[in-house]
Order: sequence, then structure tokens, then C-alpha cells
Amino acid sequence: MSTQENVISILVDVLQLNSNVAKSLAFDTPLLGSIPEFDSMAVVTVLTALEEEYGFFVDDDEIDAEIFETVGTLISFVDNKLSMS
Amino acid sequence: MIKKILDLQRQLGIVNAILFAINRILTLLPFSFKVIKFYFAAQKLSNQSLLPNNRGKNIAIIEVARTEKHHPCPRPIEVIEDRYYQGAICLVAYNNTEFSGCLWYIKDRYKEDEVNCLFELPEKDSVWDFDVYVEPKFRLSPVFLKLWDYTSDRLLKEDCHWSLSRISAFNPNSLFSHKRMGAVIIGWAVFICLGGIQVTIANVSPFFHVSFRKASFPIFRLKPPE
Repeated sequence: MSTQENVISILVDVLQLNSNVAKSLAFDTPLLGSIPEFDSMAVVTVLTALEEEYGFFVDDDEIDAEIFETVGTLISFVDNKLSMS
Repeated sequence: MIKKILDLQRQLGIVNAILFAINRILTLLPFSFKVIKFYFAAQKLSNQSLLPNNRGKNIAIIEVARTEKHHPCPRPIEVIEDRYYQGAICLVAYNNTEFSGCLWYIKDRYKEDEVNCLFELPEKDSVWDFDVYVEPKFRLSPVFLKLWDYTSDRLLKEDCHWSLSRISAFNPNSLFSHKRMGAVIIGWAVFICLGGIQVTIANVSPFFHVSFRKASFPIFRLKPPE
């Protein structure tokens, strides 16, 4: 599975998105402000799932709204973490 | 505004979207007229932490006394003084030394300040939480979860097992957050306010109330679900 497919799959699981929303998720889909389920609890859960999946660690100070602007920015963040580890 | 109404209609249903639209139109009029709808929510407190152990280590929670000269909660001083006068407790989160959020709770009863009503908690194992505030730059951080974990732990030690609150029906994010944490909706009330007149319609007692002066207000005696 590509990073994009993996990240989308994690988002769908964690946010318990309905099938219509899940199908519509693409690289440029906005997250913050457009998916009401996306709150601080969702952020922690998504990050924990990504840490378990990819084996990197995200410090609290790294958590920034820009990471969660779109599906694409989250994928870029994951790619960046993977390139550093 | 039309987008917000359509979003609300999708997220919360047609009735709430219509009430939201009415309220927005009324606020444009040159006299004081507003429509507010609250859901009443009951959250069972748990000693199971929402925050994983490795997170929130730089966040400290402290209780701020009413004697604090410069209260960190970003509300007018008279509002803060009234909350303490009513017996409320304020817990404040600091990220390192930076103010990052706060939460208020009260036992027995709370006189609401957005509309004219009183919430009473006849069950001793319940508290009323209100004005949960997180600084914008910390909204995605673990601040809220740390604040909630600390509050739950503290209240459970005081033998309180439920926290009740009201949520605006026009705030889908807050509603979703409460539901994700397991909150149960135990009622709703609509307040139609025109100057000093307030009409209240609710699906819990007292169901209907009209007040023409500040000293007259509905009293909601709210209990956690059986």
C-alpha cells in the first residue's frame, strides 16, 4: 500500500468516516475545518496510529495545524518523518 | 453564511439549520433579538486516560484561586468573579509556563450567563462543566485531553462520576467531540430572547417558560441517564 492509501485508511478508521466521505478522500481533500470529527482527540489518535504503523515518533511540539490542513499535507508530513528516520 | 447553513443542515439536521439562520438574520436587526438552542449532555467520567502516556508531559494543570490578581481565563473580570461567587472551580493548563487553556466546573447549581436560566444538579455524583477554553494555537495539541483527564481524575476522587454541560446546537464540532468522548444527550432547550423577554421551549422540565424580567427564569434540574 502507498503512503497515501495507508494514511487515508488510518483516517477513515480513526475518524469512523461514513463510506461516502471515505470514498471522497483524495490528496487535496481539506481536513481541518471541513471534517467536524477532526478535533484534538482525533489528532492524537491519528498520530498514535501513524507512529505504530511507521515506527517514528512525533513530539507534542511538532503538532501544528498546517500538518492537518489537507490529506496531502498529512501525507507529506509522514513522508518527511520517514525520510528523517 | 449559506454554506454554513447547508453544512449545518447536513451535520445537524434541518431544524437546527433553520434556527441558526433565524438567529443570524435576527442579529442583523437594530434591536436585541436572538435564538439559542442548547443540547444538554452528560459525560460519564472515567479513570481511563484519553491521552497516551507519552504525550502532554510539558502540560501542567493547576487550580487557580479567586484571589489570583491576573486571572488567566480570557473573560471579563465581573464574569469571573460571579463564577467564583457561585462556587465554581477553575482549572488552568500551562504548556511549560504559557497559558494554554482552562475549564470551569461547579457542583449543585449554575446560573447560566448566555441566557437567563439556572441549571440544578440534584444528584450529588454530578458536576456542571462550562467554558472549556483552549487557546487557538493549542487547539490541536493535547491540552484539552490533559485538562479533561486531570479533571476526571480529580472529580472521581471526590466521588463525582458524571459531568453535565450544555452544548450549542449550532456548533457541530463541539457536538461531535462530546459524542466521540461518549457523552449522552439528555435534553435540549430553545431560548428566544427579545430585549428583556425570554421564551423557553424545552423537551425537559419545565418544558415551557416565559420571563419578562431578570429575576424570572426557568430552572432545569438535570440528572445523568439511568
